[in-house]
Amino acid sequence: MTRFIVRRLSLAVPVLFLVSVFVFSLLYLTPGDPVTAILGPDQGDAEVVASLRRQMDLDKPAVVQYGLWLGRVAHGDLGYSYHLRESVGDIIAQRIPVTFELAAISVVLSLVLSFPLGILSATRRGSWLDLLSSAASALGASMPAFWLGVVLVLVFAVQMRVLPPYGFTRLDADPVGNLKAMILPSITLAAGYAAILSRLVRASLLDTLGEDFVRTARSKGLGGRAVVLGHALRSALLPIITTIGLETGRLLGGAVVTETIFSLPGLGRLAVDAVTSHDLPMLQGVTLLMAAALLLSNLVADLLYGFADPRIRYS
Amino acid sequence: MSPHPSHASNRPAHRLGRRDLLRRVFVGAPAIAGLLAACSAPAPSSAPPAPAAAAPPAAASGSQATAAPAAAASAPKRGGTLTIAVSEEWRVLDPPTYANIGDRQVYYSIFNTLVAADEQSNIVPELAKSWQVSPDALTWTFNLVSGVKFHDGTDFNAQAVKFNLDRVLDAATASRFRSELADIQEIQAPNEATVKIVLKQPFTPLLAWLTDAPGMISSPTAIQKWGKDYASHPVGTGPFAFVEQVKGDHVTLKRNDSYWQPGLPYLDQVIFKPIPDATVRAAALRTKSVDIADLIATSDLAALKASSDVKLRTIPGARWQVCHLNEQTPPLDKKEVRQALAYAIDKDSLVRAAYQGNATPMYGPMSPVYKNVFDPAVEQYGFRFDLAKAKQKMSEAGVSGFKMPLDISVAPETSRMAEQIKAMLAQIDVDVEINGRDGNGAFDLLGKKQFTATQISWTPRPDLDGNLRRHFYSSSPLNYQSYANPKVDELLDLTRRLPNGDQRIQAFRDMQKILVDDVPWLYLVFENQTAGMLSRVQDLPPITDTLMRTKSVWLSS
Repeated sequence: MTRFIVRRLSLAVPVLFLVSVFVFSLLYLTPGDPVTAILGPDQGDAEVVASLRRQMDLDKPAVVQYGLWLGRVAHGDLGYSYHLRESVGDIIAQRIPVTFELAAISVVLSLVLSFPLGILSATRRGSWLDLLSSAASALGASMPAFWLGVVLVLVFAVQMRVLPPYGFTRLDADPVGNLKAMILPSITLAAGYAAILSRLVRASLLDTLGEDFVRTARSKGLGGRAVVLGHALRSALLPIITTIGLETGRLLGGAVVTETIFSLPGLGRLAVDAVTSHDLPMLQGVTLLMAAALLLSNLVADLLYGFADPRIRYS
Repeated sequence: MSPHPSHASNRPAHRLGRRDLLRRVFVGAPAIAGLLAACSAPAPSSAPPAPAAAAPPAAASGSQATAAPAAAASAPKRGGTLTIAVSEEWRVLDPPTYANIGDRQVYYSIFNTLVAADEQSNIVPELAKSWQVSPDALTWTFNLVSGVKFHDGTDFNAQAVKFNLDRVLDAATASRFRSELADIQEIQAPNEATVKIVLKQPFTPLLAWLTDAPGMISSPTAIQKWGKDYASHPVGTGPFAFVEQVKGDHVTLKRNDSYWQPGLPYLDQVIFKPIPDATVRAAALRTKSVDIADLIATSDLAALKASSDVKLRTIPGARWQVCHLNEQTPPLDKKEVRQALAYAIDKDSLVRAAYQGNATPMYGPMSPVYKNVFDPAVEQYGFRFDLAKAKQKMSEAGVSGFKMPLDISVAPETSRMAEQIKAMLAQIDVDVEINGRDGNGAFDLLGKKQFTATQISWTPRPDLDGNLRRHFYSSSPLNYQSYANPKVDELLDLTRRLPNGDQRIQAFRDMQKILVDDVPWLYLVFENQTAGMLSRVQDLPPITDTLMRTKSVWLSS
């Protein structure tokens, strides 16, 4: 088990490296210039531009720029954002709790919603409840976050005045305010995720319910609840765990949109700003972190297999 | 490449493979999709991009703000916190080195400028109580207000002014304003209360520039103390002192109790909050979670107008949309062809269809925010929609239709406008191919002159010179469309020498006639910029640069 984890973690290094090369090249190849973003589109004389390029290492060839960046990262320094005049590490550290909380609440919310819905749909296949839940998840999966978020604001903040329309309150400063501010963004982010999960729970459970060991359990006289929750669901968990692991990536992507709508100072919005201002060190930092989070969530998912299915052993 | 490494397990054979399973449950390629989304997803329905980053109007003109009537003639009340929702995030609180709209919104509360623009855009004293120009127009002498202190307790004086202006002119500071002030030879501080700016050649726009970021004076002590971290510890002489900032969330300022202008400011605290989504910004105002929201989208205007708790302040012409036509790409080198395009555009229709009426047609390069200079006659001699004339111009040029790639900076209004333009130009057989880009990308291609036509927006500089010279002077590196007319160059030189007054205004108006006839740009629309505020917010001056001046603001109960 330990060896498995160590090997998986060491595999992460080349993956992260490739991600950073990919992001670097992508930003390098798209039109736009970090110096223009700072000086404005039409200002700055040649000397100023040159001075800025020097200060930002942009006067060096791309490969050297990348090498310098990599060298700093190897020493645990994510670099300096000239656009924000702060260290990339400091800014990211400030933003992690916001996105982490948003993602965590969204995951919990999705699980709480999708499991009962999926189980009910599977056990009452074809009933009005199943149809309703199918319709709900189709809706949830197809509503874009930028639309759903704004609608939620208009309904719950403007019309009903029960929740704040935007902004972030620190958990340690005001726990109730923090939760209130997180409700709408979490629903926005969770909607698509919960929809997919509930469909998956249903499909996977239906698969399992048709299997021999379920029939055996039933023939031994076990009640419906015991069969579904005690036997079938556990077996059905494997593909669900896989998806949860993978979907974390989508969740982080969704945070970009959700954080922008609700003005949450999280990593997603930081990434958007870094792209529009061509803030390479910042974008690299955020992307690395997101990629690492994704790898980690996949690793956790893989480890959970063992708990869901004791036959799985890691070597 | 998938960032999801394969795992080792003795997975039971009867179970579905991961891939099969994923295919079955309509989950695209979420991992990489998520990453890509994180890298590229644009902010949906956010405010129009603010590429024309810098500079307010200030100098030569007047404002047309339809300010909400002040609620009462009663005396201003002290106290309270003013929360302002801004569309664009501030990044760096150090005036010379970063000056996008979001930064400048905050600057005016922390810093004073040497001179200021009033609501009519006249230039009025601020840290300089008076000034004189030498007869040869090469030396400007500023007499400073005395007894002013920075927020850190150090003295404001002539040396501080010299320090700040020298800093702008030092290439190592990497200030965008260095090029604007290139005509400055030297800054002198002969005594505590006098600053002299010596010029290489006459430069009338100098005064207007000093109403903006280059004229903002920071504490030299603080700049030396904090070095490259100064932007996180800004110290000015302004009505409010910096307390703290969390980037992306808020910046908090508190009352400067020893502010030098007697009785001011009225508020205890000012908080700026970035809310990029226009609808949410308007919602924050409607729910009274903020006191002021800038840049209200056209789609939110009706709801806010209907609300009795909210008043609106509209400044027309504070941003304009144009289309640069690259004269290096035939047949746009032919004046007749450009004129044909100008005749083929129905500006009234653009205003209606792209802006739902929340804009005005633009006929020439001078914005109405330059009230004294703006020439209403342009609406008579400017190109108006006339399909017959458009076709006639095309045949005069001997051109029968061509393909025209059009780069645009994508926003709801600009995209709608581009679609309209495509349809309008199709009528004279010009095949427009729209390429949507983010603001930075469109500008980058414009700057490299890799464009045929680019639809983009600009905002006013403190002096009209700042808007015209950069774009239309034949040797200006920012003359993206490679436009050249010796008469225009001559007039641009003249307006730098002439003092503010009738002669200078006439020169600008003459220049506009040429710039209309030559069609280096298709002039499209002047946008309205509307800010909304709760009715308790009093005395926010409608300065034409649309930025918030908080020192006179107070809250009625």
